[in-house]
Parts: sequence; structure tokens; C-alpha cells
Amino acid sequence: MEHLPFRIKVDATIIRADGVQEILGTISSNTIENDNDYSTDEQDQK
Amino acid sequence: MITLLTNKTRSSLVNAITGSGYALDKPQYIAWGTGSGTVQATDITLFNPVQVPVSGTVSTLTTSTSGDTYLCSATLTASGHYNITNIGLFTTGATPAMGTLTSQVNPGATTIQISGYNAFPNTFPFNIQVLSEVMTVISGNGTNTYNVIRGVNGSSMMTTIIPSLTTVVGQAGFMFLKSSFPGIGLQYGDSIQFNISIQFI
Repeated sequence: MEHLPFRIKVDATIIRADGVQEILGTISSNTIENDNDYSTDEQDQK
Repeated sequence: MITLLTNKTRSSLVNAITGSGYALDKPQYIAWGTGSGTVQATDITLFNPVQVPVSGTVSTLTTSTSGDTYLCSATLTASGHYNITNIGLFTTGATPAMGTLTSQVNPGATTIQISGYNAFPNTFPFNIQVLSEVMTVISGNGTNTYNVIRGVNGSSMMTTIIPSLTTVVGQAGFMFLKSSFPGIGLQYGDSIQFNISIQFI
């Protein structure tokens, strides 16, 4: 298995105009191909 | 949905390892876009960028070993109703010039017609991106027509017709990395806090 020399992660949290926060977790990385839903950190470790 | 270092970033990192010098400014500006497309290392800009890039906070973190992780954090706030699909990490906070094709571009054609001519540089050459193809503009007629070199920066020349009204985006600063993801719907005043991390392992 190829061993990547670095991990890139983009984590995101939505802060709605009314102050409500929605934690999306990792929405993109260089190591996973996300499908149509956002993954959590836990799912990323699969 | 993927995040990639752009090709110049890759070669610059190799230069740092070989002692040839690291020539890039610190990547600390995050910008977002609403267009669709497959992220390529050859990209020079976002898919349909919107709003002004935001200067983030850059720090060095320890994830596994001391100082092994770069982190850039920034919060971007929507000035309208957007479906955010991609972000980029840039070395400058400049806003790219944008226009649209006013006629289709055939495969192999080296002349394009655009609206928004005056938003782009008035000196040549400079690069633009149309879909996933990067072109070098080598001259223009002063109003609406550019002469271009197709498929530069390692990108592939489109083998199909590029339709009229396709967005043309200029290069603003240097894009260190680009990331795509399923669209995030925002209303006016909504924000997203982004944390972009690069951990060397």
C-alpha cells in the first residue's frame, strides 16, 4: 500500500447567521474520496 | 471530492528538499467558489470564485511529532445565497478577474472572445482558466478578443467545444492547494470556519 508523505484535511464548521453551529468535520482530504455526504473524523479513519 | 497540492507547490517543495530554494510566499488566504469540476493539480484558480479571499491565521502544530503540521484557519461569511463547492489556499488576497465566453471555442482554436475584457490585465502574457484548461493569453484586440496558447501549465486542451457563456477566470496570486466537496448551502450572513491542515508523516 502506498504511504502518503503528508495528510491534507479540510475541516469545516458552518456558523449560521442566527448563531447556530453545524460541525461538518472533514469535508475533503488528499487521502479519501468523499461521497455525497460529509464524513466525520471517525469515518475518515476507516 | 478531493484536495490536491497544485503542480507549482509540488515542485517548490521538492526544491526545498534539494536545497534549490523554496520560492513561494506563505499560503494564508482562503477563497471559495460555487462552480463544479474535477480538481486538477494544474488548476490556477477556483471553479467560479465568489467574494474576496480572507486572510487566515497560520500556525504550526504538533500532531504526531514536533511541528509536523501546518494549519490555516479562516472564517468566510456569505454575502448572498451561495452553494459553496470548492475552496483554495492562496499566497495573496487578490480577487481574480472574471469574464465569460461570448462565443464557443472549438478544439484547437487559438482565439477566444470574451466579455469582461477590461477586468483582465492589459499587458501580456497572463494565464486564464476555462473549465479545467489553462490558457496563456499572448495578445488581445483591446475590446473582446484574445489570442491564446491552449493547454498550458500541464493542463489538457479540451477536445470538445467549450460552450459560449462558460466562465473565464484569471489568475490572482498563487493557488497553493485546491479542495472540492459536496455543495454547502449558505444564506446571506452564514459563515464557514475552515481549518486546512497539512501533516507531514
